[in-house]
Amino acid sequence: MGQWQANADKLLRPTALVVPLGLLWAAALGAGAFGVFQLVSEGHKVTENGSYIPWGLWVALYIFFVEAAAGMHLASALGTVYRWSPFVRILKLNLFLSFIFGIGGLSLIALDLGRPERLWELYLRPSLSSPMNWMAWIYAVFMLLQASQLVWEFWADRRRARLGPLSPAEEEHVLTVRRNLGVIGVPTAVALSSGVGFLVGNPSSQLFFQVGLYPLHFLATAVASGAAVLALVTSLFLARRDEEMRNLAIIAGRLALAGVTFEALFLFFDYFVSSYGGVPRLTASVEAVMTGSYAWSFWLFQVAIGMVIPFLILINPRLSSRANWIGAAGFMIVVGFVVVRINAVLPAFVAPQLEGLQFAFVDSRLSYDYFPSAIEWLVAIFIGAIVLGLFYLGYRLLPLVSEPKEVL
Amino acid sequence: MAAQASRRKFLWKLAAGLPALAAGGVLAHIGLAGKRGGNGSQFPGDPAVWRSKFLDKARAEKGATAALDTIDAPVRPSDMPMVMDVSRGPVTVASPLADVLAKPSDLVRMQDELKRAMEKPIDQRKWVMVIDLEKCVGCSACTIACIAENLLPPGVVYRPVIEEEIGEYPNVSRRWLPRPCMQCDDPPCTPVCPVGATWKREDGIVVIDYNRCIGCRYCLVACPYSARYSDFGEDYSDGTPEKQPYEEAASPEYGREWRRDGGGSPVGNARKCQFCIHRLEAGMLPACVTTCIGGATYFGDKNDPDSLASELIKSPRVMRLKEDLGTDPKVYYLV
Repeated sequence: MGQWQANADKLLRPTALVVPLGLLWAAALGAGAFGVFQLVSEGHKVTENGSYIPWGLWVALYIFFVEAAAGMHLASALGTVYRWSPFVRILKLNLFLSFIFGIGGLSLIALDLGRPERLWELYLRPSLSSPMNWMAWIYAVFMLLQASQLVWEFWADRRRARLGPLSPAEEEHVLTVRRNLGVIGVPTAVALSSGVGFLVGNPSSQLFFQVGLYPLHFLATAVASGAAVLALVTSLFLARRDEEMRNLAIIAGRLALAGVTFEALFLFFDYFVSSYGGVPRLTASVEAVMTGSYAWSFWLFQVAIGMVIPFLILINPRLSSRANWIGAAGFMIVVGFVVVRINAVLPAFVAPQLEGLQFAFVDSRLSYDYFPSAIEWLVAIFIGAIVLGLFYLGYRLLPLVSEPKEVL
Repeated sequence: MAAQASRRKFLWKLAAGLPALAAGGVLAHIGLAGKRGGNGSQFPGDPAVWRSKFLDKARAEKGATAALDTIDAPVRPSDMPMVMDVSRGPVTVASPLADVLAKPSDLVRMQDELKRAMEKPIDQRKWVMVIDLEKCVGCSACTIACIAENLLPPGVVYRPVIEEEIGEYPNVSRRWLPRPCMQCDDPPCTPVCPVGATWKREDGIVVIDYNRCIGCRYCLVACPYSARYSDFGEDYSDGTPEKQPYEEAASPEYGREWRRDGGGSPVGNARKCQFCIHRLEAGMLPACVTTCIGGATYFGDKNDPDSLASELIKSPRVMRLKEDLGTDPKVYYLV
C-alpha cells in the first residue's frame, strides 16, 4: 500500500505530468478551435438540437459551470465572512476559479444563443417577467463582484509588497471591505445557483423539470460540485504544501461528501415520487433516465462514478484523509456532476408534449432523440480547455495562494 | 344497366365538379392572393356576383371549361341522389350541384366576416380558429400550404397534423389532429422571454419580433403544445449545387419581408404560427383555412356574435387541448 501510495503521489504530482498534459491540452484546444470555427461559419446547423429538444449539451455544461462557480463562491465566504484560516489562504484561488468557471459557463450559453450578437438586448431592453433576464443581471453582479474581490485582494497584496506591513487601521479596512464584499457575495451566489434551478424548473409545460424543490436542489448541488472542484485542486496542487492545506483538502472532501449525499437523497426522492405519480409523460422521462436511452450515463457516470465510488472513498476514514484519494473522489464527482446536468436537462424533453407529434412531420429537427454532434463536443472541449488553461496560467503566474504568515 | 350508367354519370359529374365545390375558397384564394399587400379582391361586392365573374373568368382558362360546364349543366334530381358538400358534411340534396354552389360557402361567409372584423379597432376583435376533427381527412394540405405561405425552412412546421390510430385490426380507425399555435389567452411562452421579443397582441395573436429575439429557445421549452420552433438556418437545398429561388424569396410574415439568405432573421430565432397576420391584414383568411379540402378549419372573430366561428364554439362538441393548464387556447376542436 505504501509503495502504491508513493507511486500514485509521483504520478499525480503536477510537474511530472506537465508535458504530456500540456500536449493533450493543446490538442484539445486546437480541435475545439476547429469546432468553434465551424459553429461561427455554419451557425447552429452544426448542432443536433431541434425544436422538440431545444436545449442540449451546452446548456447542461453551462449549468455545471455556473453551479460550480456559485458553489466555490459560497466556499469563499468561509474565508471572507468567517475568516477561516485555510479558506483565507486560498481566497484568491477560490475566487479566481469561481470567476473562470463563470466565464466558461457564460461563454457556452452565449454560443448556444441563436443570435448571440443581440446579447446586449438582455440589459438594454430587459423583460423583468423572465427568470432568464433575472439571471442575466445576477450573472453581471456575480462576475463584477468577483472581479472586484480579486482586484481588492491583489491591490492589498501589492500595497503590502510595496509598503511593507500595513498599519492596523489599514489592515482593518482591507478586512472590512473583504467581509462586506463577501457578505454581498453569499446571497448573490445563492440567487445564482437556485436561480438556475428556478429558470429550469419554472416552465410548467415540462413536468420533469417542475419540481418545487429544484431551486434548493440546485443550491445543494452547487455546493457539492464547487466543493468537488476545490477538493480536486487542493489535493492536486496544495495538499503537499503544509498541514493546513492538507486539512483543507480533507475539509473540501467532506463538503463534497455532504453535497453528494444530499444529491443522492434528492435524486432518489425526486425519481421515486415521479415514478409513483403515475403520470405517463413524467414516468416516461424518469424511465428514459433509468432504463432508456440515457440509462448508461445515469448508472455508469451519475450513480457509479459520480456518487457511489466517491461516497465510499470519502466515508472511509483512511482514504478520506489522503490527498490523492480525495483528489480522485473530487475528479469523479466533477465528471459525475457534468452528467447530472445532462440528465437534468435532456430527459424532460424525451416524452412528446402531444402524443404522436414526433410522427406528424418527419424532420431531423423534429425528433425526440438527441445525441450531441461532433461539433458540439468540440466546442465544449474548447471551453473546457480555455477554463483549464486560464486556471493553469493563473495558478502559475498569479499569487493565488497565501503563505500561512500572510493570512489575516 | 341504366342505374349503373346513371351512377357512373353522377360520379363523373361529381369528380369533375369537386374542384369547384370549394369555389368560394378558390375565389378567395385566386381572387385575392393575386394582390397580396393590396386591399383585396378582384371581385368586390356581392358574393353571387363574385361567383359568376369567377366562373366566367375560369371558363376563359383552358382546361377549366369541361368541369365548369358540368357544374352549370342542368342535372335531374334522379341523376344526383346525394351530394357531399365538403364544407358541411354529408347532406341529402335533391338539387343540382349548381344549386349547392349558389349558396354562399363557409369560406365566403368567413371572408365577409373577416372583412367586417378588420374594420374594427384591433382591441375589439379576438381571433379564434375552430377545427372540426370529423371533417379532417388527414391530407396535410394545411401543413404544406402553411409552409408555402410562410416559406418555412426544414424543421419549422407551424401546423403539423398528428395522426392517431384507434383500435386494433380489423376494428381500427384513424383520426387526425392539426396542431397550429393555440394562441393562448394566457400564454406561458411570452413571460419567459428575457428580452420581451414575444407578446400577445390586442387581437389575441401571439407574435415574435424577429429583430429582437436572441434565440435562447426558452419559449420553446415553456410552450406546453410544442408549437414553437427554432430556425436552425437550414435550407431544403443544403447539399445541392445551388439554392432554389423560393429559398431566396422573402417570407411575408408579420407584413414584412424576411430574407434568410446570408443568415438574416429569422435564422436563429424562435418561430411560430401567427394566424397568417399578413394575410389577415390583406383581407385574406389564413392559408390553412382556405386550403383545407375537407372544410374542417374555420376562422373568425370571437367578439362577433354572428360569426361562424362564434357559432361553432358554442357547440357541445367543442374541446381544447390541455384545458386543465389554464392557458385558455383560442384554437377549438370539434370532436
